[in-house]
Amino acid sequence: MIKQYLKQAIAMLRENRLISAISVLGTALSIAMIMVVVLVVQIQVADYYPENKRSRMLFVDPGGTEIRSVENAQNWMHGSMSSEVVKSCFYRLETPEAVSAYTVKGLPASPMDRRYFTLYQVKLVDARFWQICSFRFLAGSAFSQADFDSGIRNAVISESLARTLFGDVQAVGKEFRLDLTPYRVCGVVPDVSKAADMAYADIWIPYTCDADVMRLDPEYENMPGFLGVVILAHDAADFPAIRAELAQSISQYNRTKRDYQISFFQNPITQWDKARGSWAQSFVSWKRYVAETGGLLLFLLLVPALNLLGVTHSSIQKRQAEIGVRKAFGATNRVIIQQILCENGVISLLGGAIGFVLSFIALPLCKGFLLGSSDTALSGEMLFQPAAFLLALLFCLVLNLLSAGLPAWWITRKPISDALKNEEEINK
Amino acid sequence: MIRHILTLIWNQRRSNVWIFLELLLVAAILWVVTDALVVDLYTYHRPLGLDTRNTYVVNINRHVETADSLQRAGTGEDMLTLVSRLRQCPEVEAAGIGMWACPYVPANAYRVFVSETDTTVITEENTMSNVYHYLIADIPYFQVFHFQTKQGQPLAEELRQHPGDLVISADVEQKFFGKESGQGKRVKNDPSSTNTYRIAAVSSVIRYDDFTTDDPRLYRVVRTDQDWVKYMKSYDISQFQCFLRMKKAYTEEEMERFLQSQGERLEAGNLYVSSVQSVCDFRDSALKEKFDAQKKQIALTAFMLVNIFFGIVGTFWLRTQSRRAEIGLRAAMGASKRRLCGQLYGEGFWLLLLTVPFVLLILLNLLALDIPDTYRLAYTGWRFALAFGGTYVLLGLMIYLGISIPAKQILRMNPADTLHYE
Repeated sequence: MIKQYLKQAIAMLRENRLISAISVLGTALSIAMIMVVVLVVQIQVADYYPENKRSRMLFVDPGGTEIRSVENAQNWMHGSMSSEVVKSCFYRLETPEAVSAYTVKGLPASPMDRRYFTLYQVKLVDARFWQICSFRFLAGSAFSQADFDSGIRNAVISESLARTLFGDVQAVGKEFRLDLTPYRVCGVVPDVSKAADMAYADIWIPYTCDADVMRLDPEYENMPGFLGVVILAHDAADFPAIRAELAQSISQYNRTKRDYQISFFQNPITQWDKARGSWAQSFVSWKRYVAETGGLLLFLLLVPALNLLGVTHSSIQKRQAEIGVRKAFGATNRVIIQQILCENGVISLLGGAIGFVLSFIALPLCKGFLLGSSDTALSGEMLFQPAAFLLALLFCLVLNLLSAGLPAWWITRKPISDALKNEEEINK
Repeated sequence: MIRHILTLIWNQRRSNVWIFLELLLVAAILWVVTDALVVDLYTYHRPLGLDTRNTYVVNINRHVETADSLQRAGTGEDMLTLVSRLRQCPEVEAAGIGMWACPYVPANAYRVFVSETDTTVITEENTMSNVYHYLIADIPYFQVFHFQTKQGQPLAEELRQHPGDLVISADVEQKFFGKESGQGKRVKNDPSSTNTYRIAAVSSVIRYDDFTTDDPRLYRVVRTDQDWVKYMKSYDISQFQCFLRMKKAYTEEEMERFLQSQGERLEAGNLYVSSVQSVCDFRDSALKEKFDAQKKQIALTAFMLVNIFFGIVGTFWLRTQSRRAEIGLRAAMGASKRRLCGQLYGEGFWLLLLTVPFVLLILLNLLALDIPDTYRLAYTGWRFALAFGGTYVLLGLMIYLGISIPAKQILRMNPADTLHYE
């Protein structure tokens, strides 16, 4: 039966080439645009190197801290937390697999014998950071917990920086200056894509080496600083338990303070929360996100669907007589609707396949304005996820249903005698 | 003729309704997008009030972290030494110092100002309308960014010729003194205060970035090294930035080479030049979000237009096919081919025109809800004409292109053949 439909669909595609081309291209364009939207979201949430465990991560990004005076609620500051807060509220959590604190700085890096003045992105991290992100080392290894504890100036640098500074990836043991401070290279990692926002940097050093980060501000009871936190859960199902334990730990910490209290807005947030547009100080709910992105997707589906509706409507009208005959010989409405959807499905799937391929071509071309930076490296891991294929298929089916469902329903409701006549003006 | 076309459209309402709905939906959305682009383009092309090409920020750091009081002693002098060394380089056109004054970098420095004669009492309610962006800079700073007076003369020159403490932007002048010139007049921070500041010059209107509207601001002009040293004693050195304008455009490598050639000259006392960033980089990152949004809007517009094209081609192609008999008959009755094509185009354009009342209704609703951006550009006749005209010209073009394909088919038709279909 399906074979019969297929044959008929292909014959129809051949019969009116211009119309077929327009239908297929229209579908392709729509699916391509939709898939670009889907891929952009996917790049924000999928697990890939070196953030392979994103789905188990919780974040309190730098900037997500609020310190408020107990006496005067108007006296508050928004910013990041100090190393003391990290130690007393986060490091002691027992539910998560690991907790890491980090911050970002821009500093010039130069070889020992020369001075460069260009800024590089430096991530100041702790030793757990290497457990949470899964870096592959081209040479050497990460700095150890002992290095971190005693503030030893060991740095992990990216492959391209190693080449700029030393002309070679084999840079372990070599020294360079970060601003003017000498550091020793302990490991070299491949360049990280900017899409992996939390892991991305050119240089990673222990935050204990930085006086600014370690400085405590007694005026605000040692609370403000520069750090953010990433928490790795054993399983995403542990998130509520971690939040509960964290709340407890925060209130315990606040009890030790007199004038100020610390809080973290809606943090910690998940990678999905971030992909929806949430950041440290503002939380975007699912409801708002679905209304916005869902509206865009619906629009991308609706416009071509209206196009296709006109076309399928006309082509079905032409076949009124054929359908009338089939009905006269006992075909039920269900069978006829099924047939029309199947035939039209061929166009949808063909267009969908082309659109799917187009989206993978369009994304790298448009990444400059879609992904925040034109030098964001894309990898197969980010793009080729089974969910993307399934979604593309789903959108094809929806488009098919939208564009062929209505005319099919309409034609089956026509009395057989009218359909058989097929005398009336076709376009009426 | 028009009546005839309208009758034709009405008689084919079943197949027209889909393309009509699509045109309506797209026209409404296209109008919103075009209107936003008109406002953006208008704002982008207004003068910014300063010029950041070939300018750089020099970040200056301390060698040794010491206790606060020790740190600040002599630091100001060291900073001024570094800046004057940079100023002497033949590659450098100008070098100035500013506080909270890097273009495109947000700085939360605002202060209340009123004109000397103003007696309004500042209360919590009216504070906001008397608060202005407040920045601190020396005369070479205005040279670095090519600031201009209201009349278009170099502001730095004007400042050298006229004494005074402040530069105010033209919009502040207008608010304080109406049509009168503000130069030489005095302002104060508080109506009750006796401490007044003399206005040395009035600059052109200055905007925070290329996509925002006027930012009324006052610059405190620091005229002597002693004054700078005083400031640098009361604030941490990280609050002050040195700005350079190079004589010609430099690539990143050339700039590195220039700085490396300076060697020891980039160190003075406890201070050294740590890094140099192009102000254009700050501009790029400040404007990126807006540019990205525009590109997305343009992609969406292209998508809509292509779809309209496909929709029109599809609908009208099928229509000419199914109406071959009618067209043949018309041809046999003496209608020229041009007339037949004209009728087809007429149908298309009338379909588009019929969306106008609905789109206007949507537009009026949006205006009533104050959704279009009237903050950066008032909703005037020309803005309406441009956005609305742009929308319909684009859609009309797509309809023309879309119909030209079936129209060609008509031109190829032989009336004798087409009559066979009867």
